[in-house]
Amino acid sequence: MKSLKPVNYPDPVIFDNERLIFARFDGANSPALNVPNFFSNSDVLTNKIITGIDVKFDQTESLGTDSIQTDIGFVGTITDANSLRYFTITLLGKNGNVLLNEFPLSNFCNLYNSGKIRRTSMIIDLSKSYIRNFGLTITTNKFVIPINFYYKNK
Amino acid sequence: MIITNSYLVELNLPTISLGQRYTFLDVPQLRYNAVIIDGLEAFTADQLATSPNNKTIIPAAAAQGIVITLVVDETEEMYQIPYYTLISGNNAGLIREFANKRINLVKSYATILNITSLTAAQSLIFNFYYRKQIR
Repeated sequence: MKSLKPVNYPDPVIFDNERLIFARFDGANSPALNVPNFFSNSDVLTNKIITGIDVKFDQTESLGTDSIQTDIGFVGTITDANSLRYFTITLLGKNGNVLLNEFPLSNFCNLYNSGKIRRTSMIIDLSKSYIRNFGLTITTNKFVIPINFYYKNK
Repeated sequence: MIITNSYLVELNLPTISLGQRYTFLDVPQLRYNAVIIDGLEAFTADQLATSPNNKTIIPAAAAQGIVITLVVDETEEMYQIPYYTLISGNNAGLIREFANKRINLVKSYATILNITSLTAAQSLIFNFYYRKQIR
């Protein structure tokens, strides 16, 4: 009897490097509605190939355990996965072209995707990229949205 | 699927009528001779509450009453895909992928098969995953 060839399932994301970026909103009641809220950091991802993106949140009753509470010096994180429904993220490339246009932020949260991390292959310019809020009223100052970027060197 | 480019496309339903077709608007970034569509994903208000045009997205309960027809060149190659099927949360997080489809968006359309849970002025919303054609 001919033996079956083993099947190798690739890891969904190549974990060469990982960087947790906090999208920081330190104004009162921000991020403001509708307008682009630009990232204030980071140079670390410049000229890196982004291989995966995963959005975190504080906690939720129904979907899982706490991912992360907040950044140093900040007091709040998005409080549940449900709130991610109000946000989109637009990622621009090095030459200013739009790579991901108004991508629903919840779609990058692996708790919405049965644990799967969205795989990507792109070089982004984070300083030109932004998040938009289409309806979540924020009452906490110094609010963050944690985003895990997986990347590898060129 | 490895994502390289995506574009969020909204299809507003100004009025709700059983059996009516709602055609996609022209999206220059997705014109069918410029890009190849790799994948398509749809959302309800459970994943995206409000569109960038500040329209309410259809509720999850309405997804089972809508089908999508995608036209490649002049042919309806994907005829009446259930909207529900395109929501990745219903498919263990997977994105529906296509094999080298050049979709003619302005000839593609959504059809309402059941008006339950739908309200006028709500929107369907899609994420098209694409790559630019090399000429």
